Amino acid sequence: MTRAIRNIFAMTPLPLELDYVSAPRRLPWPGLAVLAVALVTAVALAWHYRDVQGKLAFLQASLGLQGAARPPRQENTARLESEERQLGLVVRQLTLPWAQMVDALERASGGDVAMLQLQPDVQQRVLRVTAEAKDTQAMIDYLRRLGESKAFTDVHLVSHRIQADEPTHPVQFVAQGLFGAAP
Amino acid sequence: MSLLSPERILIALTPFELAYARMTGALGAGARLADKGVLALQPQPASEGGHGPWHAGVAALSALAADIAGRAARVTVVLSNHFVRYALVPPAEGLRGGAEDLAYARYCFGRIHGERSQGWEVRLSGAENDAARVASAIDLGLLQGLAGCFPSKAKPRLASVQPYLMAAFNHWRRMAGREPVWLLLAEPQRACLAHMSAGRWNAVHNARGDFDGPEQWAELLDRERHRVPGGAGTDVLVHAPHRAEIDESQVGPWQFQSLILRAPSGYSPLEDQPLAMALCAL
Repeated sequence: MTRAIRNIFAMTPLPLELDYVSAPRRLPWPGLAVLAVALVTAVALAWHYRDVQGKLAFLQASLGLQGAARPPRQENTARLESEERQLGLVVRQLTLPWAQMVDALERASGGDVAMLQLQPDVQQRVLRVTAEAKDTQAMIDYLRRLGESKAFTDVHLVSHRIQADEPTHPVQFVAQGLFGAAP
Repeated sequence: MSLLSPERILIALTPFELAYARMTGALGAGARLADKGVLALQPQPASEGGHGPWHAGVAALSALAADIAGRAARVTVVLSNHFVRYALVPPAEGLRGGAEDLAYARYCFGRIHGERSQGWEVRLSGAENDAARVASAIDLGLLQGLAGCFPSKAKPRLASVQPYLMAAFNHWRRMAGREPVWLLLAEPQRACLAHMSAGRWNAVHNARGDFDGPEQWAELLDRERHRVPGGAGTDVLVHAPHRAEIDESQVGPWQFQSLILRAPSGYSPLEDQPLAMALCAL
């Protein structure tokens, strides 16, 4: 095999350009310039796109974190508020001036009124009293004495009913008053 | 026909025949020989300067062009070395390229051929830095006749007119490499001999005569070897399509290696030899 054949893959000489119709195939500089500008623009756009994608992912991640954290916080807050309300209620019930109120109620009864039920409303600081009096006058006297006590203010009759079935015709009534409001 | 790979019609124009090949498919290995033909021409007396006449060939081509009018194809015409003159244009300082280089090439032809060269159309190839450049010249009437066969804005379109040396060298230039090598293109009654080394052209000689076989080639080489620098080498790449046999022989110091065409599918090396010159342009 000749040396020329052995050099098939050696560096290739430039082609002969002797065409009488087609122009020599020179480097198309304007086209290459446009291609270079297009490539630079494409790279810049790709870089910008990547940057925007990164920012978008960061924002989405942040929003996701906030969104995920918010419901538990709301739940915790609601639960805490509920527990706080419960605790406050218990504390207020424990701190009711029971002794003072019972003493005032016993003092006002005078032997003609019997207590049937006490319903304190801690939130409203209202004591609802269901009792039975010997007669209407005894009921009025009871309410007057209760209103004069230091333990209650704004004592008034809510309802009353004469027990006609009973031989002595007692009066069953409901009264309420504010406790702890007056100094 | 695909817009991406339009048909190509390759034509070899010599003083003795006009051979054409219609190619379809993609370039390279995907090319397929779809149609072919050879039109024999009546040899005419050599014109002044020893170059064969081209009028009969242009007339035949005009008839062929009329037959294929309207076909969407690109036509390439490969010109026999009978119709082409070559010259090596040495490097010159102070030229600014383009028209100045071409004028310098015309000047070189004028120094060799005298005033006859004024009616020639000249082309000048590129080259490596500080290397001689190959120039070619054909009759302006030949180029006008070829262009007249394929009017502009009509189909088929004349896409290329190139000398045989250009088509053959570009077809096999990867074999040239950097080592000194001779390239011999043998046709009936003509041989074109070129030499190059390290990618530089050292000689181009287009001779009329009888160059039918290795003995005549060796005689030509013995004469031309003195035109090139020492160490010119003795490897000779030969393309002689009119010879049926494959030449891989040695005469004296000269080792001849036949160039094998990268032929498309459908090409028969035995029957389609007249197409070989045209198919070099693939």
